[in-house]
Amino acid sequence: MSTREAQAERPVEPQAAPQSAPQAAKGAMRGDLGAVRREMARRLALLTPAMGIIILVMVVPLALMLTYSFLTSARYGGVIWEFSTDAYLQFLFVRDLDDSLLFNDTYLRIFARSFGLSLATMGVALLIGFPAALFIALQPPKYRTMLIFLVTIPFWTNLLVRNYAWILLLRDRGLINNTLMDLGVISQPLPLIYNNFGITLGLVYSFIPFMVLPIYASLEKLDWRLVEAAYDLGANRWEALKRVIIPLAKPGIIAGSVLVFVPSLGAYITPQLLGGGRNLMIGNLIQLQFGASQNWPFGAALAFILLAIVLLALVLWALRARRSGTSLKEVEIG
Amino acid sequence: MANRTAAPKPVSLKRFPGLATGAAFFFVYLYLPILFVVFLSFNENRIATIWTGFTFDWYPLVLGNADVLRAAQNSLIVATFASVIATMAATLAALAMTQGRAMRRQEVVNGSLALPLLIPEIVTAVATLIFFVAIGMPLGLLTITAAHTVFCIPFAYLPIRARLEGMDPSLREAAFDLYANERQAFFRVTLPLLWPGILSGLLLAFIVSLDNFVITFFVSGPGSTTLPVYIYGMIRTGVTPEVNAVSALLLLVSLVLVTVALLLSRRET
Amino acid sequence: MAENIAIDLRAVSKVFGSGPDEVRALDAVSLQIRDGEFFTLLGPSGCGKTTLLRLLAGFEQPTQGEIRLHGQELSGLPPFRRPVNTVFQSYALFPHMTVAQNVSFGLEMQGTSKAEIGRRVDEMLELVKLAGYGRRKPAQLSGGQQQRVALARALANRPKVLLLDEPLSALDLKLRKEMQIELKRLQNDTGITFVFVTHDQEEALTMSDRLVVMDSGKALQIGSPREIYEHPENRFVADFIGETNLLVARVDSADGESGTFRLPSGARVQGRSRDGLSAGAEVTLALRPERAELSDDPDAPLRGRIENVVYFGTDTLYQVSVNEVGLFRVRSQNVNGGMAAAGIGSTVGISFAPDAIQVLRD
Ligand SMILES: Nc1ncnc2c1ncn2[C@@H]1O[C@H](COP(=O)(O)OP(=O)(O)O)[C@@H](O)[C@H]1O
Ligand SMILES: [Mg+2]
Repeated sequence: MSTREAQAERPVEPQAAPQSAPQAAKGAMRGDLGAVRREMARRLALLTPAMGIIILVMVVPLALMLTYSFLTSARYGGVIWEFSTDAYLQFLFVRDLDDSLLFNDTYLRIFARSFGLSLATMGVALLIGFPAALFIALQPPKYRTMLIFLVTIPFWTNLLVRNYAWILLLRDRGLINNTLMDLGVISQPLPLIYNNFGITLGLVYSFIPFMVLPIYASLEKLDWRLVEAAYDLGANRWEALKRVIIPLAKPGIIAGSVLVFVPSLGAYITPQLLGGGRNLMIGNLIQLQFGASQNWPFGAALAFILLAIVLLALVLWALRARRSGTSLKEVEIG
Repeated sequence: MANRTAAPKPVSLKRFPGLATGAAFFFVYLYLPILFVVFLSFNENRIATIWTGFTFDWYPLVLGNADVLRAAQNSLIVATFASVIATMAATLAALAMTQGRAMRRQEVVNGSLALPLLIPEIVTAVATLIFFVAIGMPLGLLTITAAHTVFCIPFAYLPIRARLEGMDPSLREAAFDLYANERQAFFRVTLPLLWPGILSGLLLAFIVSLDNFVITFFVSGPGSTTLPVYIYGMIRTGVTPEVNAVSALLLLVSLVLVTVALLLSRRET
Repeated sequence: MAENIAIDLRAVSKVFGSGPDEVRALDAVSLQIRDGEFFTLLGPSGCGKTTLLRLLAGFEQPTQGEIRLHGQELSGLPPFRRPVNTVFQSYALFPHMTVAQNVSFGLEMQGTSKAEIGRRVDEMLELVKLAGYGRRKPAQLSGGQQQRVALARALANRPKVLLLDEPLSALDLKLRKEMQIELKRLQNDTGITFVFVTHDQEEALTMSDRLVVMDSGKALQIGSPREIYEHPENRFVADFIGETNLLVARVDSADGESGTFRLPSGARVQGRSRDGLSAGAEVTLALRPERAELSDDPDAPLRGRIENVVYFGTDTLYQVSVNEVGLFRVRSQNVNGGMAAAGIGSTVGISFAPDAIQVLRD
């Protein structure tokens, strides 16, 4: 008898439950409207200081920078408040004696070189960073934390000093050339510095933690059983790496590449110290407009172009990341 | 053969040939330059890259240099104000973003708070310079501090938010349940648990302010030279043992602070 | 005889860690799995089932002992050189590949031709009733469907042995029952040796040709479901498989395999043992609840008071408290409309046939 009752009751339950739940929720929402509004006000108040500072000392200045790029340059720095597109024209043309515009690729070349160097930096960082990230991810958990610690620490030391260190290593009488000459491997110092090689090495060094950390984050989450499954199905280590590990680490690889590429493109210190002032990148070109050249609108225009490129790269990446369901949060440092 | 006593050689599938070598190379690459600077700071030879003997002389020399001390003082003042203001603002923002129900536009707010990390430093530097000149604010410690506060915010925000997210929301609810009001719940429950995160954020913000060069270079004026800007000037005149000694000191300060900060942020709730 | 042994484990031990952290996951396990049989590893969680499977697959190497597959020593052979495939407990489907790509993975690794791969993938998806699902990603499938893909992926390689680690444990009851039948069908159709891991004794009994009961890294008893159920050799097996009443008794008289045992109550019962019995020794007797019955016979070997009556639909369980034995369970078929034969509180006798008594080794 008791079983029959239980059986009779069962079909009723699932019908009753969905009716009551939304009703209860609706009632709660209606009653809470005041509380919700109070909650929003509290949040707004809490956000005000941080957002206020960022808007006042970052967003407003960026808007002002955009404005400046459309003003006329004053002779000894600063601007004259007169609308002008000269800054953008100057990017591609020079004015001839008769005021006609001649195409000039000086600046375009600097942008192209910056792109090239940043791409090279990204590639080298990936080549060095991926094995390191994989190695760390394969260690027992207690060592992993420590190794990641070791990867992060240099990031927090002074960038200037870290680049300066490479001068000590790379210059003609630096550690590397001295050692090689002492060993008799070479008789003349190798040109390791004040060229694209030196810049790339310095850029890789500056930003490599940005490559390792997101790749590590992807690899650490990787379910090792998937790799075992690949082995089980006949894949050797190389195949497992190519077909399973790397594809699954792709979000980390892409994030790392973007995070290395973006700061490389706007680098100032590294080309300044390791490029020897002759191998300009965008950052140095911009700085020049506020230093020796005293052409603020042009400097602002260059900065704006750089910003636009960087934001474009970030937006494309964010869209990709959203599509593949990975969150930007996974790649934060710290 | 059948009566094997020794265990067969383990073939770990988690080991890839050459990987350990690659990782070793990576860590050498990461630390060799830093260690080399510190090493050379103890070199008695003026020609900085030829080792002739150990000396501690460069440190007293550098620490007795009035310009270095003034630059260091400026750096400390800026870093202290910027990191404290940024950490307070970041703490409030993190509270707003983690407590209570999920918000619409949460992504937008999080994105804005991370904005200073995403924008190239050189662009921020230019924009900030233009801003201060346009509003007629003289370049000096005040402008540097303002500029630093902005990029310190995300560095303080991230560890604090991470800590808050790792915190059991029912703790705060339990406080409410036990008759605490909003303020009491914050000071008696949330804040004590949040302290390591706040300290960690504060330290990280302090370090990035202390180490910043590019933005400072743009918005500093005469008399407001910070330590990195001063070091930059020294490097431009050449490689000297004094540069090595100041650099080593700056490295040391960062290393100590970041280690403390990272240890704090890892500590269990 | 020897050629129809698929897997031969000889005194295989596996030790993890060292010093105080040492865990002996497998302790001198010897067993033989016949070619083409459905063999089950049964035991509680942590007894070493997964470890044994991982040794067979090649993910781990034994600390001691050797494993042979059709006579070939396997030690040192990495998983990708073993003609063995695994259905993982978590399925381990590659999330970035489609169903078809998952199924073709192993064939590609072996360098099978494109045409052959296409044919085989279709055949496999057909076999697991997922024809037409080839272009989906694993995340777009239900748990049961993912399970089938994992099976298809492993079977596509026509392995000599298929290893299945609790493949059904993530499924709900109904689906699990379906998949049990499905797995049996697949094993019949393909003739592949299945090594199946479960901690569910009912699953083990219904599906296996033979099984091994494991505990604490040891293989306790190997045999057909019937042998294991009807003739458990020791306390653990008797207790782990089905319900059992355990009675401590003394051997009264012994005559080869059969003997008379004296219960603490003084009653004498008959029983059989495969080992020799010596008079006066203390032994443990196992008695299945369904092999005992309530009786009015005043000379019944056990008497007690009914403490509880639980209705189970097909049968009813009586818990009878017997002096100096404790709670004794009797199950009786509900043939008379399920009316209880006796109510709580009444005193009853318990009787059983001599062949219902099993003498345990320990
Ligand atoms: N990689 C390992 N390291 C250390 N101990 C392990 C490892 N794998 C399994 N063990 C231990 O070995 C014992 C058997 O585990 P396992 O084979 O997974 O049991 P089962 O699959 O029967 O539940 C357990 O005590 C487990 O903790
Ligand atoms: Mg298991």
